[in-house]
Amino acid sequence: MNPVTITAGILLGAGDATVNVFSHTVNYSHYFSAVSPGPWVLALAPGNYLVGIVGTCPPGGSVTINIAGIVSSVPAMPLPPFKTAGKFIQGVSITV
Amino acid sequence: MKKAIILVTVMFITAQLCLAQTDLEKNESTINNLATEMFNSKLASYIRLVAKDVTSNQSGYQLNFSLIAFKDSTAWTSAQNYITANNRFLRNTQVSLGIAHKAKYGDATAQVTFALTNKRDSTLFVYQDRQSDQEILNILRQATTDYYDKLVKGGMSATDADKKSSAGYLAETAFLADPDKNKPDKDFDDFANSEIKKSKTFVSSLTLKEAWLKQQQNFNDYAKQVQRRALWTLTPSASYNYTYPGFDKLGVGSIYLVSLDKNIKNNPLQLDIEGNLYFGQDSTKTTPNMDQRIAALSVGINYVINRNAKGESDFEAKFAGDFEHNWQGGVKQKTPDADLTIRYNIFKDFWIPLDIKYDSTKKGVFGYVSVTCNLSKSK
Repeated sequence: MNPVTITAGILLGAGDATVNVFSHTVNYSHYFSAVSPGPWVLALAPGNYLVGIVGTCPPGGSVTINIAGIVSSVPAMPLPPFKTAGKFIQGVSITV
Repeated sequence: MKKAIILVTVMFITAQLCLAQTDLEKNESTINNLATEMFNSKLASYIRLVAKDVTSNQSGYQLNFSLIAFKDSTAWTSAQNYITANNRFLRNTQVSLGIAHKAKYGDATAQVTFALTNKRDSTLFVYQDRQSDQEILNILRQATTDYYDKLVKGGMSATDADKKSSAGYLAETAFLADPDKNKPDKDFDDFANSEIKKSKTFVSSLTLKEAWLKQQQNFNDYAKQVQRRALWTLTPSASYNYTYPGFDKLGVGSIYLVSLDKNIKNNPLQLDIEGNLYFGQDSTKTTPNMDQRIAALSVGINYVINRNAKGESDFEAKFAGDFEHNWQGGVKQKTPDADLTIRYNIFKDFWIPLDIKYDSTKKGVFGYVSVTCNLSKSK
């Protein structure tokens, strides 16, 4: 099992991000906000996983997501910050 | 002719300052963008420049700035702008510095505005839709599994089915993020749209794309509602006459601004109540004094006549009645005045307010043109 660390940076304090990591056999979910900023550390067996990220970018602020402890990802980490105020969604494929 | 030259010069300088911020970080549909120009005239988001009554013989220039403008000014070109409950005071405190050129003398004015109630600030509200966000992810995960199972049952190897279902998942999320630029994998999209019908969170008739757009719309609606919340400010002020020299005005003012119409589909209709108590100059005397003791009340209605495609105000009109009482002995009381202010957005943050007053004392209608520019980070 490899430790995979997911961090979310929420600037302005009013945004949030829900992150799912799943495969055919596992499904994990974590909620990031100003009061629960993480990081979120997962123990994952080597293999391919999909990551779903959905949240809200605060007006004038941004939300950043980074996944560390992985072999590779599509798209590459860290993700470009979500800057447009409102809802955002991003799918990611990772190899552990 | 001289007035026209001054007006053109001021417009040119202000326009340059407005255009200079085009390289700043841009955010669409931010709540501050949805503020009416009248709201900006009461409390600047960052910095506001005003060339006031430039066509009259009482013209003046004013600089309004929120204290927060200096805290994060070095970060204006980045996404970083920390505003928390701890620095709320900076966001809600505005300093105004002005110079007025009247017929015979000049005034320097200093004001500090404290927002006692400011429920509109985009940086302070919290919008969360956690349950719907999680449900979107659940639907996508289940659609990925269903798609994979269908491919394997159709004879595809587990490895290829995994690659194809993963690609379908990534295409679907990209499609939801930007439907105009990206297309979904049709089979995956069918599974996702089938899965959403089982959801108890979303209306079953919606496709996944429609459900996601609905979530975005909910946020935008919330942003518009925030802009209709109340603002209440308290403003101590002082004017220093540098011709005499000496102070010629000391007082305190308060403003209450609230939307009368909470329906976000309608253009904003705002009630603006402004009260002032001050000691002022009796201009009939030749020596510096603050003999006037005045209570002034202005009650107005501001209506946004037009909004652009983003929902931002670009044309407003305000009608107000002004009442005044002077406790100074032996003076004739001023009769109520009527005031119409039309604000038109020329481009970007560049506004031309036209103020038309009916002066009941002089029995005439007078018009004043001003120029304003709101410099802000989150535009």
